[in-house]
Amino acid sequence: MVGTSSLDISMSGSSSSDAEQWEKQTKSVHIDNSDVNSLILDYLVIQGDEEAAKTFAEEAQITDYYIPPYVKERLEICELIKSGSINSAICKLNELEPEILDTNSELLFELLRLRLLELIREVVEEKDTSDLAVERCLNFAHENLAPLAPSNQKFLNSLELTMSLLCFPPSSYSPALKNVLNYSQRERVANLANVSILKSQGLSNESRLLSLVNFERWCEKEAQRNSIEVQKFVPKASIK
Amino acid sequence: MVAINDSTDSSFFKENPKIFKDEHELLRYIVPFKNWVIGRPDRKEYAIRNGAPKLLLNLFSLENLSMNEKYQVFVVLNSLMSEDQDPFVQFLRHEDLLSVMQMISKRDSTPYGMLNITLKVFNTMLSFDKAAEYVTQLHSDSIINQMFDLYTLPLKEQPSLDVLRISNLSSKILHRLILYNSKVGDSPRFCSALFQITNRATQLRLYSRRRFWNDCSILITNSLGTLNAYLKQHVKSYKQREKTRLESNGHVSPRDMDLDEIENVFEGNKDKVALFKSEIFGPNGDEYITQLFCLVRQFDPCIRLLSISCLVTLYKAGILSKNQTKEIQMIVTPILIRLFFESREAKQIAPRILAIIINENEIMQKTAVNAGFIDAAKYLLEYATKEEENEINFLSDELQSSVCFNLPATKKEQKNLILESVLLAVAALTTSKDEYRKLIVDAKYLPVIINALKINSNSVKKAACECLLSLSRSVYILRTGLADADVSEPLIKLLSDPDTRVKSTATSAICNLVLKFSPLREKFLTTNFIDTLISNISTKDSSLRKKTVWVLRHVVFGDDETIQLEPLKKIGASKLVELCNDEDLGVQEQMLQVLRNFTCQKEESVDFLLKMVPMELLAKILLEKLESKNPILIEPSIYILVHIAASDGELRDSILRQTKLLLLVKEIMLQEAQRLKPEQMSTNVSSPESDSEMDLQEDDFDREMRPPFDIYEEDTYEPNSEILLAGIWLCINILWPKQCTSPSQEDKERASILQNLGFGECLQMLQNHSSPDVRERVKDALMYINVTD
Repeated sequence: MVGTSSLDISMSGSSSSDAEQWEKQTKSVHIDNSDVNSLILDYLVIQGDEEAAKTFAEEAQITDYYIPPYVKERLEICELIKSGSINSAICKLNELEPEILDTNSELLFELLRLRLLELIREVVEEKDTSDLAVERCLNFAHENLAPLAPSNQKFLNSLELTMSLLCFPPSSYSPALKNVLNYSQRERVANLANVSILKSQGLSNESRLLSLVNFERWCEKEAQRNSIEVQKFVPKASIK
Repeated sequence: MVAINDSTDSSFFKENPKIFKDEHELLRYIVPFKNWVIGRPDRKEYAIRNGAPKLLLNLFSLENLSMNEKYQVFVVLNSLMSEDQDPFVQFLRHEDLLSVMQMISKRDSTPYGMLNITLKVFNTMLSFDKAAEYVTQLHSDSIINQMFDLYTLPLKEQPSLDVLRISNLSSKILHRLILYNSKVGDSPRFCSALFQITNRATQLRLYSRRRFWNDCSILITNSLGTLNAYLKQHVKSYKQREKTRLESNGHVSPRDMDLDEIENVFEGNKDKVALFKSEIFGPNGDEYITQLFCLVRQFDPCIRLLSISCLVTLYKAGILSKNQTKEIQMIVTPILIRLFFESREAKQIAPRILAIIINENEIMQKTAVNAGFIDAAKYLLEYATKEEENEINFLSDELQSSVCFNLPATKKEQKNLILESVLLAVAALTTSKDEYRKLIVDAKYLPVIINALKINSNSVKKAACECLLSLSRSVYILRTGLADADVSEPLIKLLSDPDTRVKSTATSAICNLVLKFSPLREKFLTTNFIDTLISNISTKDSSLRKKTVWVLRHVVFGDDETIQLEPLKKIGASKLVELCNDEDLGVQEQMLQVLRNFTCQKEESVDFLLKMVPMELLAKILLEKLESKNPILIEPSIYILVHIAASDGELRDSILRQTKLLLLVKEIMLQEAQRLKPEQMSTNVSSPESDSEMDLQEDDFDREMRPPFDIYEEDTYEPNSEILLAGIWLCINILWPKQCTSPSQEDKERASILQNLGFGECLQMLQNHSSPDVRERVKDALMYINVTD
């Protein structure tokens, strides 16, 4: 996909000659514009930005492209999750892919857990500290999450952690507990839903551009860990 | 019935289950109800328990349902059926099936989303036997045509996810219909479509930037699964035709031949093979077979397995050419062993297919061993018996969407299936050669096999028994590897297993282990063991009955008089006579063999038997057996007389009084002499030492749930000189002189009786018989019979 390089650089040493060699070789890598364009289009499609994808494809003169069905609906579901409207997201999801929650217990569990977190947030953020509100949380967990949890140890651990939010005052929360209540959880579950829908539509479940960026970050970290000096990768190819 | 809290979408998560009074109310709340049940097994169970299946199916008969309402009903049905199908079986009516079929038939006006969910529900409905029967009997042609039309959509329309999924579902339905013996009409056209779709999906996978990769892979596996079902159906129907032909020609009686027995239906006849190939493939048979060999080399294990399955079906039917058979040996067999290390699905299926290929085939066995079978199978056994903390389990997406492998869902069941498959492969490898049995024992397989006898799975227990059966065929293994193995206790326990198939296979294995020379014999011969055998004798299952009597045949042949007498005492006279006249010929034969072995030991045994069954009654039974003209009954019957005649003078005279019986023996000898070209001689005892190997090779296996290698082998009807020798031994024993010096008056009288019955002439005739054994015995017999001169 990215260029036609056949890099063969050993990372075992840290001498300056190796670093120079590396730099020389990275500079010699030719990245084809059409490849970069395809990566960007793929990113836009996976992220659900149909309009942007179509416009980009037109501008980049890509004719053979495929936009999967129901991009708008998929995006809508992700937005609902990000805004905390979990019930509506579930209804939309059942409308779009009726079998997804029947077969993907992880997604269902995460959605329901997110719903529980929203209820707990009301208690923790002192919007409603009545016993009734706590009882509501307990009932929800008992009726919705407890039947699913025993099927997977990961679910049990996750539920235990979530429920412990109710056991301690927010001021004494550990960093792990604080993280449970973080709004980034919505983002995480929205991504999970996005990936699950894409997978059920027979598409690759991650943007290839994101995979490459993640891989580049991992390489950087590995180089740092091994005290290898490597210049940060800056693509020189311009994007049309 | 049925549970939802209230009518609004927004509050359906609250838990106040409400009862729907009828289908109209359910229809009103169908969307919140759908959102309430999807993904929630506990709620589905509640809904099913409270009558949802009936109401949902009743909705089918409501008129004026909008397309969206129908869609929602199908979604809910599909979701509930994925939890538990059984409750739907009793409420499903023919008109419901017709409604579904009608929706499918209007495919031009039905959106693809609707068609997709309808096909899913229809596919589930067809898994109910009654529904499948109804559809295949009354609507087979129309539904096959419709499904064929939908299956070939990717050839006619621009590929899209919906098109591929509809094609996939149609192929699953076609597969089911073929399994229910639906005829596919124009066979070559159907076959050609299967290959065209497979090719199309392979191309799409490669050239569509992987966007349809999964669905195309599933389409290929489903197409290959359907192809395999189609090939099997054709081979089966060819065998059926062949059987009918043989019956009508009088070559074989219907009860003597099982369909599975006709393994190589073409007997190497090239014209027949060519005709059959063109019948199923049309003119492109070899091209398709080459395509299958190409698919065997694909990366995807499921595609490999299914293409191999198709090829093995053709191989077992004897359709493949010499070169193609060579490819099965050199390419398919090693690939199958490599698949042992691949996905969990491959681990479950590959050893099973390998078992079919290598069973009773030394060349394939050798290839398998050279390709590393011993280590690979050991790895799989360890994998299958390793305890894991997390037993939660799921199949790969691909397999979930494929009906081609009917695999279990839980990890424990899957591991049991792996264990069973590997054990079957080990049993197949060790059917013939001691060399491989030794390899298995040296690789320390025995402890795993013995442990498998205690696993709570009938199929695994049965497969472990098969292994012991194959291994115990070798005298060497019996005396070495198996000698110290602790097999007696679990095997005796299996004789009381609730599952008849397990009992039956355990009995087969024990048969070898209680032979006179087996070091394990003593461990088996306990009162409890004999009692269990005696109780199994009364089973309704004729195969188990036969095997049990077979074990007794070996039990009574030993040095320990107490053990020898015990089984007969416990059987009792009336049961003994009943078994001699059993409806199953095999049981009759084995019971006669029991008496033959029992009487050959000592005079006391003969006395004991004749006290139980008086000579007159015994003679009557034996006369009936001789009159049957059935060689498998004649030989042991004559030997029983031989042994009785060997005991004492009075009994010889009582045999001589059975004129009708003796005349019949002579008649049989004359007939045998006319048609035999004897090859070898055996002792005058149904000696377990000498013929045990032969006996056990002929042992039958159960046919259900087994790969074709365990085909029932009827006892051979090939003529041999045994019957002739038995008759000669009878003459010798009757005429055996009291003293060695000169014949007594009694000896002369006996000789004279036999002469008068025509035995003299009969023996004279045999003097020039081609078998040296026969000639040798005849010399002795003539010496005694001619004392009257």
